Amino acid sequence: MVYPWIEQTGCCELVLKSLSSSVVNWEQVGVVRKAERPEEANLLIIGGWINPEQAQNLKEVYDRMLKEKLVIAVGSCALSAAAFANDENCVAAKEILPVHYFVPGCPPRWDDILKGISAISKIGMQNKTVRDILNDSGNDHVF
Amino acid sequence: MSIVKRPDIKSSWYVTSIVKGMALTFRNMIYNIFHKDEMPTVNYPEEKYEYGPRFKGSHILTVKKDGSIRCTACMLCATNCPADCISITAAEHDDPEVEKFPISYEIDTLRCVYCGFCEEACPVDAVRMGPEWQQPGLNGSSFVHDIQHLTRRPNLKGGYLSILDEEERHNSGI
Amino acid sequence: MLKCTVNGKEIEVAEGTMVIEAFKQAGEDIAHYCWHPGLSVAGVCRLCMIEVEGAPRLMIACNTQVTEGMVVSNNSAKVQEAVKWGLDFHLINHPLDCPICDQAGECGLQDQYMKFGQYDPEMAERKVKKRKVVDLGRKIVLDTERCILCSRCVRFTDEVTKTSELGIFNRGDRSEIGTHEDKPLDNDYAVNVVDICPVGALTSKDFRFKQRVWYLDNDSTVCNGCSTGCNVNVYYNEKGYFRVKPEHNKDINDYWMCDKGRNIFKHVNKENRLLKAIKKTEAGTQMMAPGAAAKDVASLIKNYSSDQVAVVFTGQYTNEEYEDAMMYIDKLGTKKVYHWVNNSESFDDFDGILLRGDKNPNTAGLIKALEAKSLNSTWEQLEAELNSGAIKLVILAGPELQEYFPDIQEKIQLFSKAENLVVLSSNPNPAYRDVDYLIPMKTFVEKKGSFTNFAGTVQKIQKMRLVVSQALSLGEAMQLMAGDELQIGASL
Repeated sequence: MVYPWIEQTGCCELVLKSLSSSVVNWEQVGVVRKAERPEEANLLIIGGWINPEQAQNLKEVYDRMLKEKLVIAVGSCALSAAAFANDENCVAAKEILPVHYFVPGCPPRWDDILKGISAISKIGMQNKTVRDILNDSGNDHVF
Repeated sequence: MSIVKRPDIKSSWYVTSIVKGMALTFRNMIYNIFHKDEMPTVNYPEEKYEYGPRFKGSHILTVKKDGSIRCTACMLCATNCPADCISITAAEHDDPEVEKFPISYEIDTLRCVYCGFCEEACPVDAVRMGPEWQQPGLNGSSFVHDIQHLTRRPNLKGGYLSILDEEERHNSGI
Repeated sequence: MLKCTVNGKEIEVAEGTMVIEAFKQAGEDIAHYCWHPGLSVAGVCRLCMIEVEGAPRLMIACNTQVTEGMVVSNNSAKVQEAVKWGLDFHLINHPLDCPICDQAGECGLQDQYMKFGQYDPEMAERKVKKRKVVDLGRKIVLDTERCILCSRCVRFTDEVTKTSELGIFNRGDRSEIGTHEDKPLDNDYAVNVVDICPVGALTSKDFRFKQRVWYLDNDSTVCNGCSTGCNVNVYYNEKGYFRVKPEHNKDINDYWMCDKGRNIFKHVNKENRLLKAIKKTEAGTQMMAPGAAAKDVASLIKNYSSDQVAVVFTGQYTNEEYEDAMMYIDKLGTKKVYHWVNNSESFDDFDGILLRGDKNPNTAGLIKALEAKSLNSTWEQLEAELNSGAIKLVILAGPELQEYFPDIQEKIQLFSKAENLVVLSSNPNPAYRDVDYLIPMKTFVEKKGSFTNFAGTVQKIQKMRLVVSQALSLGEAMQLMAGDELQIGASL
């Protein structure tokens, strides 16, 4: 059961937006619903290129998420910044955060991203409701 | 001077638009119940989406008729790659007809942007972008594909034959 | 001086120059394969066509002398058509070897095809197949199919080395370059034929298939193999150093260099270098950073008086390093500075072309630096003092090219008679195993400076890509050992 929060810039936005559409249904691989705030999310999906302001933003979002969290990096710019290797404005995601799953491609097919979510959701939390998760997480604000 | 049509009285009753919207939703739902195979949703792990024949997926290195690798380590693919993901080391072959061949050919899939420039640049049809999807993996699996994986992984069923054959070319006199 | 007009430009040339040299002097492009400024004129490739005003047909530029008031041009459509057809004849039997040929990127046929050719071949006959990968000795591989029979290599072995090993065999379109019965091409200047061959027919075994030419940068410097000091271009990229080619210098080496100088990049690459300083302790060896080891030596020197310290130099460092070193030796106060010469009897050997017997690039510079400080101790004095125990610490500035110093083992044994031995060297050697301090040094491509050759000419060397950035230069090492600190922004 995962509650994803998506950080996307650039061309990977197109495929990440389609993940929750009716054609590509991510509820079949373990997503309950999209998190409304980072405080409720336990999966962070990073797509697109990352420049230094975005890197700062990502760190803050990562700190706000629930305690047991997982990260998927999507697309070649987030994985290794190879297309912009000569530009110091683009960094790879694994230099900012610990990444658990890599999905290569430019942009990757939604099949591969769903494969990643289903592989990871088996590691994630099971059989708990949102209220249980929030109460266990020890955050100050509770419903 | 522009002519503005005054909105008629019915549009201020929000109930009508709610009813119209719900009618649309229920019409689609009942259609989907009776025509289940025409639903656009792809049920992911059981159904997979079919891509076209020119889909640019994982790379394949082709082989010649006798099973040896077609690539001659000319390094044109590594020069043309915009993401610098190909590294090749050349070596001398014992047969003087085949002078040069690669002893190490590595593609780093985390850097690759799957553009197809390497396939365009190759003069002997040695590198192709195959029909398999890119392989995602957990942190720690190997994302660098070497010759063994590119040429002879089990999905390829023994190796793809190259369309450019040296023997035919020599026999035809070029 | 004669006046002539080349492609619309008016220039003045000396008597007896050929038109192709006038083109080079005016800076105009002209296609040519068989002409080389260092060899005699052959006129076999028929590509350097020019149009001379007043002559009915096109003439070749390499064998036509300039006359007064000549008007020459090669940018009309008639000349370009003629060059295109000349190129077509060269390409009739040329194999499709560009992916496997080393010359791709600097090939004469590729360059001229892009300028004048770009046509569809209309040849209907089959290509003639000849022998490939013929082994011609220690350094060269011949491919007879790719040869366009410009005969530059034949003229080179006839005129420059005067050994006449190469020749053209068979006739017509079966002609091949080769040696008689495939004997090895083993004179001391053989690899120059690889440089002058415009196509990939002759390739060097050391460089074969190592890198593609468009990945390499190059810089000019001076060879450190012997005291002639030939000007060379060294090719490198971030993976290392790959080859050495000669550069034209009309006083010293003309267009050529010897084979021994082709190996001077091998000791620079990282796998053959010392990376960290090694200090011998009671418990074994300890690795240190080079600067830290030099400072350790400085504290060791303080225990001895200034006449118990001896410094031994070889002639392999630059003039600026010797000046800096002499300054710090003054500061140390020792007068016991020796010059290690291992083959002084054969110093004046000269084989007639380029090789000399003195295998150090900068002997003259070292002798001048020593005389400037009037340090003239002899080798016998060193041996006597070592045997009697008057010298307690020896600092040896070791050789970079260790193959010319075959007596390293004996000399190290001699120097080990002192209590402490400090060796400054860029490459490891089994003889250095029991030395007290072994400090890595920079090689000649990693420093700026100048060498003085046998005739007294001072030539500059350039700094290229650093391989071991921690290593010290001789001036820095002596500065640290004399107790000073290095300044930021110090040269070398």
